[in-house]
Amino acid sequence: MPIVFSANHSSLLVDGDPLEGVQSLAFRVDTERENVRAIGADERVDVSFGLRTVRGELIVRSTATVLDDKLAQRAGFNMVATLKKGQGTDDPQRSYAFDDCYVESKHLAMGASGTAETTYVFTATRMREE
Amino acid sequence: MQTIVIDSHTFAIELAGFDQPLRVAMQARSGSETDEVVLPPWTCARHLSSLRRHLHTAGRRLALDSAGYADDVLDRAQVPASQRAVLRPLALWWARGLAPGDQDGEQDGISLRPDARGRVMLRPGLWAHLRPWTWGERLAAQRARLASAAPRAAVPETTSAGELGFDPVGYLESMLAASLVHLESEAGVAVGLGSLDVLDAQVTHRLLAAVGALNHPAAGAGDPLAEVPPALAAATLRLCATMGWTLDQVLARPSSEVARLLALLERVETAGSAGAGMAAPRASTAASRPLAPRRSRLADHPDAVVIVFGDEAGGMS
Repeated sequence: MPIVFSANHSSLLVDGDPLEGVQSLAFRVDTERENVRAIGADERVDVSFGLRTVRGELIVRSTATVLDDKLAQRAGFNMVATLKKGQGTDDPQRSYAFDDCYVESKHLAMGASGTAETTYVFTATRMREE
Repeated sequence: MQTIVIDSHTFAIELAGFDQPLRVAMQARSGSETDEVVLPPWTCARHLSSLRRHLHTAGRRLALDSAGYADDVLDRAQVPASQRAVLRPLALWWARGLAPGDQDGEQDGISLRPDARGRVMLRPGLWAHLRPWTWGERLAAQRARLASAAPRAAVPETTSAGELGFDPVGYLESMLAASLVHLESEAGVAVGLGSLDVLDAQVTHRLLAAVGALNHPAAGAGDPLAEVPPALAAATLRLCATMGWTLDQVLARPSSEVARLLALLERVETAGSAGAGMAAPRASTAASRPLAPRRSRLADHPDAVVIVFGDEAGGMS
């Protein structure tokens, strides 16, 4: 089952500027892996880890002009998602920072009784949890 | 010297602008000579500080101790007690920042409404870049100022009548801090705000009036949604929920386009409720999530981390 966070008072910053209308953010960290074999052994003798990339989807109500520009210009950006349960200093807080992000594609969906929303697919070099 | 009449009192003054000291000619006790009282500029910081001391909430109303406020203004000029009773009306006029001949709402013929770029002229050469504060900022300010008398108390401090205590000056300061983006010159160069001591009474009055009108517009002041019939209010909210538009975006759309959209929504819902084999689409509400499109999403992946923004049920794990 995916890990689902739900938070009030949360925010998403793109290059330091807040992004309005964010519905959800999903990401997955992929790490290349290769089993190392050895002649005469029927078990792997080691594991070789390769490139680690982050792939994500950002769903925004209506559309986000800043991300449209990033897609058109193929420009990189940094993104920080700050999750807070409340505005008090004692409330739980967690932060996810995505470095060197690039928007790869976007998809617009609008139902007759639903709400127009755009899904931006992006990749990042690394994800830091704070 | 010019004369000004305030509350039937005539004063001889030398007004060189509210950012300059005000010279007031006073008849000396000897009768043949005149004394001079100089009132220094009354700044925004001192205005808010005096309001905090002399503005009180009485039930649902605000009451100002005008004599106490005027004495704060006269304290700055070190006016002796014997002259204060005469000068209090003038002190209140000086702190008001309204030049002779100006009307409230528009001073020197300059409108207090923000232009297309969100700027309001405070005086020639000085502009304030304003923005409306958000609903979240307003709620946070209300909550903080209702409980300000007893921080972190389980129950906000109540008055003897059982009503909640409220700090109106703190609320005003929160609104000002949220709405004033920055000050800028005629050329659009940002001017450092520094402390509120740089703003004189006239600029303060214009700034507070503009911020107040921006965030708390007078009821029915040109708002097409004021006292709209329930059916039209429901149609407007339906478009907001369905299309993801704000109220301003709905009002800005051509009326023929809005009518067509409402007609289409009506046909879809009517066809659904008539049992034509198509499931009636659920009406979107602010609290419900939109219908997900029929495509695979990263959120469906078992290794994905999903963050949902908004007032969804659930907590952080």
